[in-house]
Parts: sequence; structure tokens; C-alpha cells
Amino acid sequence: MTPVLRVATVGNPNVGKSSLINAIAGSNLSVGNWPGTTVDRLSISFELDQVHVEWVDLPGTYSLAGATSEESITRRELLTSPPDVVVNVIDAGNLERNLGLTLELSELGLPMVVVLNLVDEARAHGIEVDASKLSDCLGVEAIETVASSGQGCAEVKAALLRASRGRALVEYPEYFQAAVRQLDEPNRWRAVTLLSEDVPGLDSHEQAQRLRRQLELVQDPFLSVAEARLKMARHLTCDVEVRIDRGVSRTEKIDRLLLHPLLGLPLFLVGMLEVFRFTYEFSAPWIGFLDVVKGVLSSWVTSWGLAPLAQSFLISGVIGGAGTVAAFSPVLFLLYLAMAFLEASGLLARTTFLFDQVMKWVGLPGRSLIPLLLGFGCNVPAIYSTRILPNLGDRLRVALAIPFMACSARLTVFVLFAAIFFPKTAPYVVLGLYLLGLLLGLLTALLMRRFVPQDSDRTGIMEMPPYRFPSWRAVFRQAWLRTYSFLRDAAGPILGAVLLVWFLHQVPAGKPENSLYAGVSRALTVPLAPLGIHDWRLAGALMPGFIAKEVVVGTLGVSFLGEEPVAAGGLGEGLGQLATGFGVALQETVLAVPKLFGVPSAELPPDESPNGLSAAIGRACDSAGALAYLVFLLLYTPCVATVAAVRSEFGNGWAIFSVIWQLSVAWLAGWIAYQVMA
Amino acid sequence: MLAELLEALRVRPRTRNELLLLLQASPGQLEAALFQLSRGGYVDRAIPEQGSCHSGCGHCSVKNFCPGESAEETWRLTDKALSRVAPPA
Amino acid sequence: MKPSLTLAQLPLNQPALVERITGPQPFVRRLLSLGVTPGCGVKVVRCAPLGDPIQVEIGRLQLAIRRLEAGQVHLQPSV
Repeated sequence: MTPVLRVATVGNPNVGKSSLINAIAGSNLSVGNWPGTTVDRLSISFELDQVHVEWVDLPGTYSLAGATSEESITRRELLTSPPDVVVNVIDAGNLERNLGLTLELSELGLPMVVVLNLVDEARAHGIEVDASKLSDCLGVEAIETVASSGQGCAEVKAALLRASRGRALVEYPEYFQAAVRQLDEPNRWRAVTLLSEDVPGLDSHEQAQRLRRQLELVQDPFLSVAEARLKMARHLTCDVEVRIDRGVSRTEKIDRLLLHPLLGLPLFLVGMLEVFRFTYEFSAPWIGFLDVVKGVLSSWVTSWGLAPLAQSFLISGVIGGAGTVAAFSPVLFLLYLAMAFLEASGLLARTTFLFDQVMKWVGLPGRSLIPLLLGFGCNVPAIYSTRILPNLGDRLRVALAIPFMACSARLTVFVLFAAIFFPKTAPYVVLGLYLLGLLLGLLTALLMRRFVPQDSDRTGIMEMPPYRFPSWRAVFRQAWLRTYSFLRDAAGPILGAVLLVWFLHQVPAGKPENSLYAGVSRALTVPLAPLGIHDWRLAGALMPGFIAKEVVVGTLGVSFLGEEPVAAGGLGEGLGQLATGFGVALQETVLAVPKLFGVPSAELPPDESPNGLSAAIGRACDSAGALAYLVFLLLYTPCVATVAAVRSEFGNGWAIFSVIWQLSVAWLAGWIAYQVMA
Repeated sequence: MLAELLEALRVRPRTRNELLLLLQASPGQLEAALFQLSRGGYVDRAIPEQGSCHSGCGHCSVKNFCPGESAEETWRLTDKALSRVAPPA
Repeated sequence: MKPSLTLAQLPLNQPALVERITGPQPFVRRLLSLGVTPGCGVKVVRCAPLGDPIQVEIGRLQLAIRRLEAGQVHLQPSV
């Protein structure tokens, strides 16, 4: 007759006991109920080396002394019909919690095999359990498995036949040990349990009760036992749960380069430069295409032969306004794309690490550098990206500093003016303006420390997550959602402001010099006079500059040279232009890829403003006034879109404050610049 | 660790976070300790007084519907523990 | 007994054990919730190019922590 080996799995709930029995069973798994209950009873039987194995899955339990019906079943089975081998399944990722039961089982004195399951998940969390060390400590075999995929199951089967009895590891306090020795009970688990608690189904006897009463006079035996077991579980965990050195991880290799004491900072700056080049190179073709669309729509409107006022309303107001809104989206989308990538890949955390020291003097965490740098691309996503800061006070201070960063739109004006007034030193003037903005932004953040509510729970502790390549789907989705929410929130304000400026231009009808716009502009020259700006056309261009800094140059062109007439165009002609424009944009996008890897040029981009504008502006003010104008334009107010962003993130009050604060700083800085130059 | 845990709870019921802080324990350790103590009937989960329900519920029959139920996990000593764990002399 | 060492003073790549964490509650709570508890092993992996903060390996975690705060993590005297 074949010998029979009775096996039982025991373990905490949800550690994969049934996955294990499923993996081992293949198809001959039988499912029933435990007698008198609705608790599932899984069992299998198979032949193993001429031994008939009968394996049953006991209900999950945290302790053998538990009181629920499942726990009672497990205890009853183990005590009244002890299996030949106990298979103790443990979640390798939650060792300390699981070992409590293991320690009880080893006191029970049955031959045992420990199954370290879910090692894949544990590893994903960076936890390695040293199975052989655990095996040595417990005195039983410990086998790593991933039961759901069947990994390690064959080893578990093989280990059944050589299962050994574990060591009782828990050391109880001496007063309690003494009682265990006195008690006439050979099974250690029974002895310990009888002396420390009442467990249903475990018959106590007179001697045990007497000893327990004596123990209770000294200390609470239950607490002593629980404490001793917790301590041993902790001790064991510390011993076997190690980070086995698997050589240098991929993350560590990347960190060695990116966080290098000397190379780290330059590499970061190159990376940031690449982000801007990526944004610029890939957005430029599409902004160009949007211009084509604008031109085609305008030519169609012209072909309708409407009254001049209506035509101007549609072209300059509606199409112009919508065009301004739309022109934001390529830049925004690409910057958001870069942002989402930095965030998800783990690079953002490294930036914090690199620049924490720099930002510390303004009292900000290192990662606040990211929004500030993004501000050089476009202030709007920079404001939204302050969300990467966990602390509201920090977020606000960074958001107030961001509009001082010279966004790419301001560069067009800088280039135009610098070329006219400082032909020899143009790049330095522009660089100086950038640095001035950065400096004043940081000073603002520093100053606001006193006025902005500080959260109490600020610590500099930050996890540095392992690098991973983010899923493109998630990155694109996030970038799209953020761009969409910008278009939704800012379209109204921008369009409104464009229409307002258009209205000022048209009323009263007649020459531009007599329009309301010119009147308001002349009024503006009064406060700007100390800055050396006396020409109303220069002052006036600051108003549309509030809508978007991109349109300043255009407005100057119109004010100085008059509006360019729009030629009428037919439907077919327009469609043809659209198709060609789209093709060109696609082509330029593809051509932009190799440009990313080229050496960046130190030259300023070519000035593309209308012919004759330079000369006209050159006559409008002197170089001191021009510098003051540039400084003022750099600092004076965030554009409408940025104000809308500040408002949606921090409320009306801070948005208004931001505008007033910047106007004051800009005026003061412009005045100083003028006084110094003049 | 159990003694410190009981002492901390003897002063007043405490949230999980408070206990982590007081005992300087990891979440896993605290969970294991609270499990042992609740198994022995020394501690149970309390529902903090909050909103309209000022009863400090405990065995309240409608506590599952109580807004306090979703609040932070709070633990307190049972009567058994209070009678057994003597205040330090 | 040697005077107690803090995490801020621990030399690079030398393993040590945490003894206790002092300082404001949120700080202690944050560390504990990350699993940094008395008895667990720590190692300083590197410091930032500008000197602060330091990167600390604690079990399976890589943490960036400022030197000032690292000074509140006391280590067991090495044996």
C-alpha cells in the first residue's frame, strides 16, 4: 500500500495560498466546504515518488489562536488531525507581519516548509528576502515562489518529502518560561497558549489555570507572549530582509552621471536648453501654419466686401484674437509634454537634489527651480507647473516670481530694440535683461516670505524614485488635458482684451492719431515720462502687450507704419494656401529633429519685423529711453493668460496683487535704468 | 513595544499616525502590534467625535452610517485593558 | 561609549543603524511613514554637487534629505 502524506497550507489571508494549490494541482483541484460552514475547502491529491499526497488548503489566519470561524477551522485541523507537513505561505513583501504566524507554527512542532510567495511583487518594491538565511534561522526549508505563474512550485513539491520540524525561536521572559517548563504539556504552542489566553476549542486544565493565575500576579502573560513574538518577528525580519547586492542598479548608473559632482550641473543646463529647443523648433512650424490660416480667413472675409468697420472687426478683432489664443497652443502643448516627461521619468526629483542648495537662500525647495525655468519658455505652463510643489506658500511665492522670467515672446521685442539702439552689444543687453528678470523674480520670492502664509509641515525630505520610461500615452494625455484647460480658461480673457484694444482703435472713426487708443496711449506717456518714454506709440504698444507679449512688435508696426491691407482671396485659392501651409509645417517639423542635436548657436534669432519699422522706432526715443522701455517691458505685467493662470490657481486677490506688484517693480527698475543711462 | 503602545493609549485614544510618531514604529510593526492587542481584547477602533454624532460611538448600532467612520483610524483601550494595565506608580 | 553620531556626520558609503529621530513632529512622522525607524540600516550614497542635500539609502528607498535635518537622525554607535 502506498504511504500517504497529508499536507496543509497555512498562511495569512491574501498571500496566494489558493494560487499555490491551483498551480500545483493543475486540473485535479476539488472544491468543497468545510463541514458545517460555507468556507471553501480546496484540496488536491497526487502521487509524488510513490507517495500519495493529500493536500488541503486551510483558511487564512493571522494567528492560530484567532476566534473567527475561519481561524477556528485552521486551529481545529492543525490540532485534532495534524498534517504530516505544514506549508506556511508568506508574503515576501510583508515579512514582519507574516512571521507572527510562522513563529506560532514552529512552536506547534509539525514538519514545515516555508513558501516565500509574491517575491516578484516584493522585488518590484525593492524588497529582497534572503531565503537561505531565513531557512537557517527557522530550521525549515524556505522556497521562493511566484505562485500565480507557477514559479518555484516544483521545488515546493520536492521539499515536502524532506520537511523538517522548525525551531521554536521565541524567547519568553523568564517568569513565563519557568511556567512553561512546569506545565505538564509537551506541545510548546499549547503550553504557551494555555498559559496566556483563553482560546475556544483548546481545553484548559486545572494545572494550567493555576499557573496562569500565578503568572497574572507578576505580569499580564498575554502581553508578555505577544511582545516576545513581535520582537522575534522584528528581529528575524531585520536579519533576512536585505537588499541583496545585485550589482549597480540602472538607476544608480544614471545617477552617477546626472548627479556627478562636476558634470551634474552642466548636464542639467544642457538638458534644460534642449527642452527649450525642443519647444521652439517643434512649435515654430505650427505657429507659422496658424499665421497662414489667419491670412486665409482674413482674405476670405475681405472678399465678402463688407463695410470697412465690420470687416476690420472680423479681421483684427475676431480672427486676430482667436489667432492669438491659438498661437499659444503649440508652445504650451510641447512644454507640457516635456514637463509630463520630466515628472514621470523621475528626473524632476533629481533636479531638486541638484538645486536645493541654490533655492535654499530664497527659502524654497530645489524643485521650485523647474517652474522658474519653464517661465523662460512661457509663463503660463510655468504657473500651472507650480503644482509640483507640495506646499501652498511655496507655490504662491514661485508663482509671483515666474512672470519676471523673460518668456520667449518678450524676446522678439528685445531683439528688435537691441538691434536698433545697441547694435554692438545686443546679445549682452538681451542676456542682461534675462538675468535682471531672474534676479528680481528670486528677490520677489524672498520678500514674499514674510507675507505669504507658510505651511508648518515643510521638510526637505524627498524620495528619489527609480528612473523609468513613462508611457507615451499617459504623457500625451496629460499634456493635452493641460493645454485644453488653458484654452478653456484663457480664451475668454484674451479674446476680450483683443476686442477692447480693437474698439479703442476704432473710436472715434478717422485717423489713428485721433482714436481713443491714441488718447489712452498719450495719457500713458505721463507716468512713463520719467522713464524717458515720450512717444505715445511706444507707450500704447504696452496695452496689447498685456494681452500677449507676441503682439507688441505687430502693434508697433501698425502704429508707426499703418495697417497692412489684406488682399481678398477666393475659396479655392485659400484652400490651396492652407494645404501648402500644412505641408510646409509638417516638413519643417520633421526637419526640426536633427536640429535638436546640433550645436546651439549663440546668435540672436533674425529680426523679422516689418521693413522701415527699425528706422521709425530709432527716431522715437533715445537709447536710454529704449533701455528703460525694454526693462519696463520685461517686468511690467504678466500677460492676460498668465494672470488668468494665477487667478485660477490662487484666486483673484493674488492675481491683482501680482499685476500691481509687477507694475511697481517695472516702473522703478525702468526709472533706475533710465537715470543710470541718461 | 506593546507596553509603550498601551501606555500611549491609556492617556487618550490616538490615531494611527500619532501612534507611529510616539512609538517610532514602522507601519508594519504598528499593524502587527495593534493586531495582537485587539486579538487579546485590549484595544479596539474608536470613532472620533465628529459632526453631529457626539456619542463617541463604540458599540453604536448605526456607526456604519456615521460620518465619523470614514475619518482617520483611531484606536483606544478597552475596559479590559483599562482594568488590567495599571497606571505607572 | 562613543558620542552619538548623526546621519549628517556619517561618512559616504558607511552603513549604520538608526537609533532615534528627533525634531519637529511632521519631520519625524514623514520619516516614519517612509519606513525609517529605529533599528533600520542607513547609508549615505552621495551628496549633491553643491554640498547639500545628501542622498541616503534606507532599506529599499533612496531619499534626499538636507544636512540640517539629517542631523536629527541619530545613529547607533558603531561596534
